Amino acid sequence: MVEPSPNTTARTDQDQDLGDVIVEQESTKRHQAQVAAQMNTLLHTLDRMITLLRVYPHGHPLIETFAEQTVNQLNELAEQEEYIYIRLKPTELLTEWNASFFTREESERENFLWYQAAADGLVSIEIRPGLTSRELIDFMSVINRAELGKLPIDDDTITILWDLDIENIDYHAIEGYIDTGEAGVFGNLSEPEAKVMVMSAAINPVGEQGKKLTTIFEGMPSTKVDVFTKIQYKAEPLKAMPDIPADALAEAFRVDTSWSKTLLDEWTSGDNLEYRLIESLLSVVRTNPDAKQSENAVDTIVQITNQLLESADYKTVSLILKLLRARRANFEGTEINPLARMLEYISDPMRLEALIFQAQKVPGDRPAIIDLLKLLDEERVQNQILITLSSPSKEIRAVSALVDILLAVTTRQTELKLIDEKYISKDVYFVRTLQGLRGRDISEYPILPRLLTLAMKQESREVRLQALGLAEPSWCTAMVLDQYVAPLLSDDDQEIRRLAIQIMRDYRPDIFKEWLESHMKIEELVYRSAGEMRFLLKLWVEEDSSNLRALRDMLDTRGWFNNKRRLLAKNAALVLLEFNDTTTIESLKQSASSLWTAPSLRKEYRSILEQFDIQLEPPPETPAQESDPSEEAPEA
Amino acid sequence: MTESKKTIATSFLTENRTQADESAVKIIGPKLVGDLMRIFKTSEIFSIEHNQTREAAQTFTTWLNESLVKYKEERFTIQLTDNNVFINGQLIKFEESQYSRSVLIRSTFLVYSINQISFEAGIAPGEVIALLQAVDGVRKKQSTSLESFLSPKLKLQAVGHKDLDDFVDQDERREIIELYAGLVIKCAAYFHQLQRTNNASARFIKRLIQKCADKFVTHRHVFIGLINLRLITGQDFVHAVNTAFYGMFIGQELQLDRRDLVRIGMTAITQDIHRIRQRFSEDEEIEIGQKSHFKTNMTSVTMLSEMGAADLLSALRLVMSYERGFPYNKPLPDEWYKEEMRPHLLSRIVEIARHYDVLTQGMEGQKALKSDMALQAISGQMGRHYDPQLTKLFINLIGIYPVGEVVLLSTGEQAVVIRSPTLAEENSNRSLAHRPTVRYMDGSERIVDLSAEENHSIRVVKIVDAEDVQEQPGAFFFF
Repeated sequence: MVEPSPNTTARTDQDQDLGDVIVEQESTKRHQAQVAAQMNTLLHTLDRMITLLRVYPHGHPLIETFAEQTVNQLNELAEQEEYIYIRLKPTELLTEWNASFFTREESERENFLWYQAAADGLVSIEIRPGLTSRELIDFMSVINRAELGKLPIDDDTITILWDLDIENIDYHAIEGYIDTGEAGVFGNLSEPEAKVMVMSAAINPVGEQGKKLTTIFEGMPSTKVDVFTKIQYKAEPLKAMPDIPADALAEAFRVDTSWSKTLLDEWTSGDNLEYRLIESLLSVVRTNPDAKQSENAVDTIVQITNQLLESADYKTVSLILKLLRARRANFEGTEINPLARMLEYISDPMRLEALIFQAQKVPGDRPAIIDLLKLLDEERVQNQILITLSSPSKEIRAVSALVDILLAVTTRQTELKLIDEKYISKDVYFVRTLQGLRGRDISEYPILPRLLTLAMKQESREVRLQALGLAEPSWCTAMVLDQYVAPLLSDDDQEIRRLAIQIMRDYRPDIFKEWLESHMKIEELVYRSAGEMRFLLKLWVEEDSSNLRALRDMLDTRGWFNNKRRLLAKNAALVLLEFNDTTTIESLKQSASSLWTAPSLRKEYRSILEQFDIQLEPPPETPAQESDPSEEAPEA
Repeated sequence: MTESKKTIATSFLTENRTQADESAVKIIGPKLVGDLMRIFKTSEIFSIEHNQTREAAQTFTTWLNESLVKYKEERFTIQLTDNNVFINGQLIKFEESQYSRSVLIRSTFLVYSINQISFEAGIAPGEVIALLQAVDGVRKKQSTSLESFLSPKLKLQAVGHKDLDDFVDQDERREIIELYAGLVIKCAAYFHQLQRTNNASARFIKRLIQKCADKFVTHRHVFIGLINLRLITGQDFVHAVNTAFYGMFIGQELQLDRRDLVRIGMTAITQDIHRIRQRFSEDEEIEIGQKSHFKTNMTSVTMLSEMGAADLLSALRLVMSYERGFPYNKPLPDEWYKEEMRPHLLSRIVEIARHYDVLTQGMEGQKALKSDMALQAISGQMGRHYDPQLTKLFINLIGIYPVGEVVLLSTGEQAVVIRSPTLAEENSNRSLAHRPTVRYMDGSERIVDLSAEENHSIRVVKIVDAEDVQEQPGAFFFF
């Protein structure tokens, strides 16, 4: 073998290093291409999300569901890569390594969605893992509104993003460098030049720039003040600072730090600014209802209320609607009627659907949404809820919210709608509605007993179960019990039987006792499930403690070799021990140690006794040839 | 993202960290930026094609090439962040007189997303001229981006901003002063626009106010100091900025969140925009006790509502304007702050801020009052026109001797106020509004907190008249 020369070794190492670098570079390239492709797919998805945002109102279930799915995909990539970085250009989007991954040509939209945001100075965004669907909707809504030119005149993408302060989306923007070319009073200076002058003057007021600045404004007339300020302004100014002793001053201007808290509370609660705004706009209407400015004011009221609705401030929307209702004399008889316009707008079926969905999704908003819905045409709202409840295809997040709304908007005049044939013909309607009624006082709503009675007539197991679960005296009348519940005591479905038994015991004890006595025969009991056996045996003892003896008799299985009988014995034993029957304990101890007891039952008894912490003697020695007779015996 | 990508992200500064020594940063950086901006200015005064411009470009490139040889560099790379300028990855510390260069170069390129300019050895004057043409092209909207600019030895780049801040050795003092100056200029531009068009937007002002709100926790005193430099007085746009800061000052003490601070600031700035419109007719004078005030005020309310009230900011200023005319159909009251619906806290805050600034600025030809006198005047109306709690809070926050004022101490020395006393719990039984923290102006720059027990033997005698101030303090004094 020839030894490699040192030069050859060095070359080989270098080649190896070079090879490693190339492999690493190739691997990085492949990874980047893969990430770019994933980002491209996601951006197409966001394009589609914008379509939904434009078609459906804020909070609509289609938007929310789409956003939830998209957020999952975004988070998956963000977790894999630590974050998703997107650089915005007017016609394309770039990755962090400056590769174009989504262009205007590729976009499914006519206009490049990201153009306006980039034009506003949004340079890049960074999406971090943990993004929520709410954050995504907020962010995309800004991009959408910017692209549609629907941002307020004094806002742009950047100011709104600052306001939103989205926790999981960071952004970088060019700020404050855009020269509007309107430096105005600063003569021929450009904005940056004027800024430099003010800066320099601030740093050195007596320097050259400071003097220049003074010169510019020296002869300029000062601004006039308004009449209200003038009143204060004209108040006799003091000629000289009075020489007030420090202590007097300290006392005169003493502050209590708790004031800040009180004032903060005032700001954050109570004094509703939007409400005051509507008041001020209504004052414009009141001054001259037929003038153009009144029309504008009403337009503004409608716009403001819509915006509040979009930003999920349902409480204030309700407050405004109530105010408009109280002030309707201002615009009655005129063509401008903000109240009617608002009610019509909110009652749009898609918007109603959105509100109803939000009431389900955000429990904290539920009371405010219900309050708002009650101000609308209640029949329309009721209709919308009934359709939702009876349509299997409608997604339901919280049926209790739907029923809350339904009950809130149902009046004596409209209650019959709840038992309209078109709804009660659908099992899904019953199942959902009855689920939503859990925990409520049925007697509070006159229509509900009728609804439940109708539910009892249904063939559907699920419907009957729901109805039985809501049993209460207000609707469990003798007629209902005898006609609909009593037959269910022998229903094939064990859960239905159990509920029927409970209801009959509670509401028709006489009939129930009779039924129970007739059904506590061993031949009948053995055909019931273990749980039901125990349940009935327990009820039987509760009805009459003398039945304990009959239960004790059930323990004696000698001469009985089939499984069902043995199961009954075991369950009877359990019930007896629950009643702490001392006779049973002794009897069980004996049976558990007796060779006369079938070995499997013996084992069961031992385990039951252990379950109840009862001490036992060691098990009897079983002869090797002994077998459990029941294993061979035919069923009785 | 992955490790390899991180390297790319940070390479903007790290890759370019070459052998550039101290002198390159101190000498080359400011000169390069200054000369480049001078060429831009020359081209604006004459034209891009003009001989003067070409000569300037020639001189610039000759010097640049020589310097590259001298410092053994292949290129000089200028990098721009929001607040700073770097050369080859190192912060350029501009002298005071040169700082305008930093602002100008950032204004010229960052607006087009360009944050890196490389000048390579062998650069020719024609390339600089081509750069001037490219910038002119995007300014005139003939082309959309500067990133497509191609030149062999002069390269423009838009580099990712991530991780940049970690490298930045910021001069926060300049950042704050620039913010204030920018706001004043943007307000002047906005008001100017309002006179001529119906679609003037305050969005750039809002961006700056948002930045100010972010800085308010740590630097609110500096903003007050900047107001008290009284660089420009009696002008509506300065009054707007000042009122915004005073209002935000109160808002911050109430611990309103940053969004609410911006709302106060923006409402204050845009409070009187309807008056700037040319067709606005001056209100008749009214007196307390008259009944016409509500109707008079409705002119303002109507005009503001016509200018739009559908967004929050417009809505706020409309409400504020409306509430100034309270109460409806009754004589104008002496006790406005508690009349009828009780004006919203926002209205009450801005009312104090507005009047204080009007008094200290001396608007409408009136002589400006000194801060202490203005506060006296306002406190005289406390409990009548002004909410007494808010007024007292304001007096204590601003201080009888606000930041920026030069005061005469009982020791006979002059000092500039740099902090007003804080409203600490332990002071709740007495006001320290007259005991600020001062910086001596005797050259020692000694800082003394007059609210501290051990300094109670020293007191402020008075605010020094402008003509008697020994040395006019600049904004750096307030930091």
